[in-house]
Amino acid sequence: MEEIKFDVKNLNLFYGDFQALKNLNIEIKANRVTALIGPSGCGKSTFLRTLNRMNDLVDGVKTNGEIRMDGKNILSDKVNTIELRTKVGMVFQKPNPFPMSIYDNIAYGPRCQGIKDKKVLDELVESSLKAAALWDDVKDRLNKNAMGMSGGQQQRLCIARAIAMKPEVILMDEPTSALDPIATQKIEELIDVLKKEYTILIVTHSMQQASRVSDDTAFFLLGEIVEFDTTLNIFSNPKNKKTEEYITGRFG
Amino acid sequence: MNGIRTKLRIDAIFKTIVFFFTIVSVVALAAILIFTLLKAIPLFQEVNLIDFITSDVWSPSTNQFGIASFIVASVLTTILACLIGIPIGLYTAIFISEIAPKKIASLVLFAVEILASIPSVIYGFFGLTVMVPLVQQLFNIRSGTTLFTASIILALMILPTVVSLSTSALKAVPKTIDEGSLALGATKMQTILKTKIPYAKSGILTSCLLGLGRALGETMAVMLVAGNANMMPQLFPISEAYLSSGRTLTGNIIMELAYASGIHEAALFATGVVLFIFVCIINIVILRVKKRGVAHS
Amino acid sequence: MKKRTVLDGIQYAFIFLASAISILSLVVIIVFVLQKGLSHVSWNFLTNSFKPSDPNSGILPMLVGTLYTVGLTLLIATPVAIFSALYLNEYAKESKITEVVRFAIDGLASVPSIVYGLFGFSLFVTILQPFTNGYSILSGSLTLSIMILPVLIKTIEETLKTIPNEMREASYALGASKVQTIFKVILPTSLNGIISAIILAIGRIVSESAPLLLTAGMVYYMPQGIFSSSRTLTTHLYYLASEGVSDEQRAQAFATATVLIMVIVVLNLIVKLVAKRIQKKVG
Repeated sequence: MEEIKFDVKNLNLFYGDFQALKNLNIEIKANRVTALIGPSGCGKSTFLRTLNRMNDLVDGVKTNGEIRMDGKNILSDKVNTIELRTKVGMVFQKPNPFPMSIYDNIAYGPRCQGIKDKKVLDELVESSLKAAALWDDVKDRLNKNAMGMSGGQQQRLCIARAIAMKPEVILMDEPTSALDPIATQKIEELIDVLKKEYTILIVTHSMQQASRVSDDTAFFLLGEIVEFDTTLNIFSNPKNKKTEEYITGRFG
Repeated sequence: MNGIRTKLRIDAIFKTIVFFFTIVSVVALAAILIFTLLKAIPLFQEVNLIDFITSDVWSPSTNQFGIASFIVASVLTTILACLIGIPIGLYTAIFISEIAPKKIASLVLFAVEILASIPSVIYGFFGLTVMVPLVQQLFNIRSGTTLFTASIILALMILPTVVSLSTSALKAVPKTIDEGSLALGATKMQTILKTKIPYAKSGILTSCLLGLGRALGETMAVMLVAGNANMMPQLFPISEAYLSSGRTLTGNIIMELAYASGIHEAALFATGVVLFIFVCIINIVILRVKKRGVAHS
Repeated sequence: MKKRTVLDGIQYAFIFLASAISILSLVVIIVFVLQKGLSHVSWNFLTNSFKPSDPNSGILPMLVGTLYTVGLTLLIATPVAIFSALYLNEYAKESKITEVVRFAIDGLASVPSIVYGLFGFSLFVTILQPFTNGYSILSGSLTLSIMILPVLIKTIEETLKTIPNEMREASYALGASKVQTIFKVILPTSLNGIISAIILAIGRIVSESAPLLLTAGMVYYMPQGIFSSSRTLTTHLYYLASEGVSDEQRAQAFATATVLIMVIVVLNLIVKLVAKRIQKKVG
């Protein structure tokens, strides 16, 4: 039996009067890649953002239910979101490096935790960039502004930035939707390597991507999880008719 | 753990600081209104509001305070300044946004920005040394310090406001609007005048109203060229009014405040209140125009 | 068809005429002032003190007075404006209160400077005289601070608004606190915008005259500190223009106006440069 990272029970989420997530129950396993698929507006990104409480930043959002991470309910008021986010890293849809040097981008998170030792930071920057397969590309220009990199490099930098926090989980919200096929392939290869050390959740619009990179897949529709199973089962033998229609491209 | 608690405490403290400064700015700005109003009140224990606005006798030594002639001078100069400045400004905006090549357009825009930032006292000084003698010779009058001269200088001063805001309004018109009109066989000029300007109407109107506000509130330049005579301009014929010396609301305040006391001082603050009311009216109209613009698009 | 071209032609003529007037008026003002004033601007003129009857009078006290006023006004207004803009953009949720604050800021941006002068005169010069020493650089700067506050807050807020929300999210997702996000991401990213807002404010302070006339007074001695009354370049020019009758004082007036224009043009060029740098960074 594999270790369970997130145990979600009866999760509901409201934007004002609109219910965006309806009574979700799902167990996300550790050290696997879980893909969240479904048509736009189905709640998959919203769900992803509950896992590091990013929805707290949006006005008028209310949640109830439980999300147990390693047994501890992270939706509780007592949970410190700053601490939570150091454990649950996130990579966004559009690469969003800070307008500062490559080095400072990576060192940003550790510095926010009060790490000032230059040696420690140097090592972190190097190991994170290596982990994101970016080190060889940028080792000679760590002090150059990150905005000058290509889109694919920027996204890998954002992954490196998340890795530098030594998180347990990495959330990826359509990480390749703004990238070209070659850059996309590089990110997908990276995900494959990273899952050995991290639990990864990825929201994606692309069926092929989900089938290529993930171990488990959850299909979302109208704020509900219609089906959750291993990726193999979902794509070869879906139990629900809606799932089948979606993955065969008959709607969405 | 401890570090995170400190962080949260710092967050809370900083939020308080930021909020405090916001309160400081709001209070400072509110104080302007309250102070000006409070300081004006003593006047109305002696003179009633209607008399204050409609009487044209301003004689502090005999405790008579009427500002009708200053209102008239302010209104006259503002109107003429707008009549001259707005069309020129609007046409310049059309030139910048529609006709001029990019390089020339940005050059003209830069010139307009500098025009906007030239101190009003330089406008006044220029008016005094160039326009005043010119007006004197041109109309063969005893003194060139007239409401007409003031209007010309004001027209120059509101030009940048009208130009820059109208330009942005015109530039904000979507390309599809032009194309729609051009595809129907309209000339470029017809497209600009009949399609783009109506589309950008609310922005253009706002720029004109802001220009109007600037003309009304201008002090130093007007004071240097308007002559500041404390009397009602003779309104018929209107040319007579413009070719005579006059004192605007702003001019009245700055000329007398330093040596005023008691009710005289209150009357000057009341003059400020009247000016303020004018500005409020302009702002309300702007707000309406903007709202209609939003509803329209 | 022919009528249409004629009508269009007339419109074009108006457009070129109007644009010519706009540019020429600037050129005429600047050329006229510079042509009469430039020859009188010398090292001595910039470094001599002023005496009403002395033909060798300079404008050093006014330069110093202007610098004092600009410095002190910025010292007071900038922090208040930055913090207020941060509150409005980063902290406040849209509510009735922020609506009122925004309305106050918008409304007061268009209040004529003379009204600020009236206010400054009654509060800082009269009521707070024990603290401000009446007509003084301090009174003038306090008045101007309040006057530039609305525009300063608005331009800084505009800059903050251009920072994409993803930047904030990226920071929070890395476990940064709000203060860390503000000081490490938001303020550094908007630095150029804030700088150009401040330079624009400097331009306004240097140009302003009516409120200073009512709050900082007209003393032409070298200011001894913020409690001295002082002339700035603009109020000095006003004095020379309205009271100077001799040729010598006219020449001084033109020279003062020349210095003012040069300061303004330089400030405008700096703003342009900063704006270009911002564009490069974003694009």
